[in-house]
Amino acid sequence: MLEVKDLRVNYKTQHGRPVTAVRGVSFTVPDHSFVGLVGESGCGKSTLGFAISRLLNVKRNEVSGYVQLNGKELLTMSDRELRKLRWSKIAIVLQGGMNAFNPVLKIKQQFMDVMRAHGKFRVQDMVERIGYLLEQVKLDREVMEAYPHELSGGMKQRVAIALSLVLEPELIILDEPTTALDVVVQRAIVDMLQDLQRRMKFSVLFISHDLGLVLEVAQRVMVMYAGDIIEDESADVLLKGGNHPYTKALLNCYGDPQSEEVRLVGIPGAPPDLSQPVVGCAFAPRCADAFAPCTLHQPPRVKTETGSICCHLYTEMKGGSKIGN
Amino acid sequence: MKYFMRKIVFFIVTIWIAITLNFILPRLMPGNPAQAMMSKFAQQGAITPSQEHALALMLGMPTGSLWTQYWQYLLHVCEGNFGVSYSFYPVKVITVIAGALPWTLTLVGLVTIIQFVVGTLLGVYAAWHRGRKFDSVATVLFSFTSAFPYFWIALLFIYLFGYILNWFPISGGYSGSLSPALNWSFVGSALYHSILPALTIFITGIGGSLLSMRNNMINTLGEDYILLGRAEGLSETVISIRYAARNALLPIVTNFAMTLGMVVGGSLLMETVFAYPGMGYLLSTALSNQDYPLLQALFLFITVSVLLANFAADIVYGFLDPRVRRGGAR
Repeated sequence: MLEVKDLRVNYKTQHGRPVTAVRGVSFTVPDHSFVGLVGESGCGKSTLGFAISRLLNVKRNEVSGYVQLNGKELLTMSDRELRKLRWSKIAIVLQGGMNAFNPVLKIKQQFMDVMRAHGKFRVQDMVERIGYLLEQVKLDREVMEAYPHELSGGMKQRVAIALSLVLEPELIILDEPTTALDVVVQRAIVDMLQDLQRRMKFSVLFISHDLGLVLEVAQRVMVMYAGDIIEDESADVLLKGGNHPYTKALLNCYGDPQSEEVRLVGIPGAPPDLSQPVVGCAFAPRCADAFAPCTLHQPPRVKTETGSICCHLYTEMKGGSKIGN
Repeated sequence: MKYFMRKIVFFIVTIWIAITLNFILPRLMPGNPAQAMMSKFAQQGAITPSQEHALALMLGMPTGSLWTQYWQYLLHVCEGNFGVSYSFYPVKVITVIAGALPWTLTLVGLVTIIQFVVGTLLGVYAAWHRGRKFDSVATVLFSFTSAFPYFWIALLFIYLFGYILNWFPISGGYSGSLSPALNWSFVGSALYHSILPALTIFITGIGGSLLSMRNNMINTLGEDYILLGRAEGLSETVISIRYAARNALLPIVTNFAMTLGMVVGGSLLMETVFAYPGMGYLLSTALSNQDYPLLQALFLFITVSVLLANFAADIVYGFLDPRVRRGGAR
């Protein structure tokens, strides 16, 4: 189980104030669960993913808070310990497009590099394992003999997923894994991922800007805005419309393909400047339902039946629980 | 395999074109060496037609149609027969070159290779620890040294270490009291004479290798596969060498091959400043003496070696980068 508490990430800038990309985020990813993390560009979702796996450049970032995997603190762990834990416990899948693989090594060699970094394996066993995993992501075994440039974008993404499974990790963080692909390939990969997750029993943190896609595969979805998770809710509730005005607005951005007249609605305004401290609710200036306390006080996290939410509409400020109505 | 076959065919064709150009160019120039020499003699007195004929025969002036000359030339090139040098008359051009080539190849060649290897390794180190002390110092220092004009460094070294401190000889390839032979005193003397030239080439060249490798490597370090390598828990050595340096080296290989090809032409400045008995020195001698056969042969040697180096680079590149080998899209 992954537990994140009060995680903060500051990007140091060349001049002036640091930019706070992640503002005290807390959440958990239970074992064998498929959790989505959604937000618009620049909301800090990728930064959050990289901060959890400690992949941010130490010189340019300040990370504080707690990230615990099965009770083990990742942020303060020694580099040696961390290297052992990487990929065997937490694996990541990057957007597979251009340069996710070393262009001069065969796919096979890149799998073997990882395995060799984490133990002793016989070449024969490694080849067997690689072949098995490639079959799991519905590719030919022969793909292992290919160089990255010989594969299509969809194939590369499948290989990237197979590679993440090689040491049977407990958690896989996928950062926009399907963004560069067309809708059909996207769909096939997401379905395959869901199937693998159910059979192989690992947890998934699926980072994407595509709420529609995430809602289809994830059991729980966290919606991020301006460096904070503003709603953390089961997918079922969100599919019915969600609670937070931002989530609702996001859902409004998708047209209903069944309806005669498709009306696409954007969200007016822009996210706040994160180099300045945010007062009140970060979404308030763009929120249609904002009222007095929104611009003054930061809304506390309120528990709901299946999740939590940060919005004054659901605090005592406006007469308490409106949820479920 | 198709890639390598294509490269071989391409190489043979370019060699042929180079040889042909080398044949045509001097013939396109107005006048010929015999006339040039005769006009010199004519200032001292009248020249009879029989003298003129004798001179032409002595210099080996070509006769017959252009086609027969061309075939003869091709044949001679294959035999290594480039005629007789004017400035070292009557020594054959090929013998003159054979005397100079080893000096240049060993000194300039070796120093170029060492300079490249050392510079590239330091570049890898600087990029991997970018922003740290070594990187900051090296980047400034080597930008500085690589900006020096070569002849200035060379003259400074001659003045400082040769003239003032008297540590090293200031010119020549070996002590004048010895004659070339494979014995200890001669080899020792040659090594001793080569230290200053080697140092100057090394110092002015290493900056370029270091900086280009460093900059390339820093670019490569920003690639996703480096990030993935970190996430995979690969060791620092594997990431820095097998993932970063390996890819950063690719564009540099071509550059290096070109430099190696130019080695055969000798380091013209170095050999002139140090009066070093190599190809560059020979070239300047041939130029100032209007030694056409020697010049022509030198040009051919230089062209062919550049082509050869390029060919070698293509082959090596084919092994290093699978994307080139199969000619596929990215």
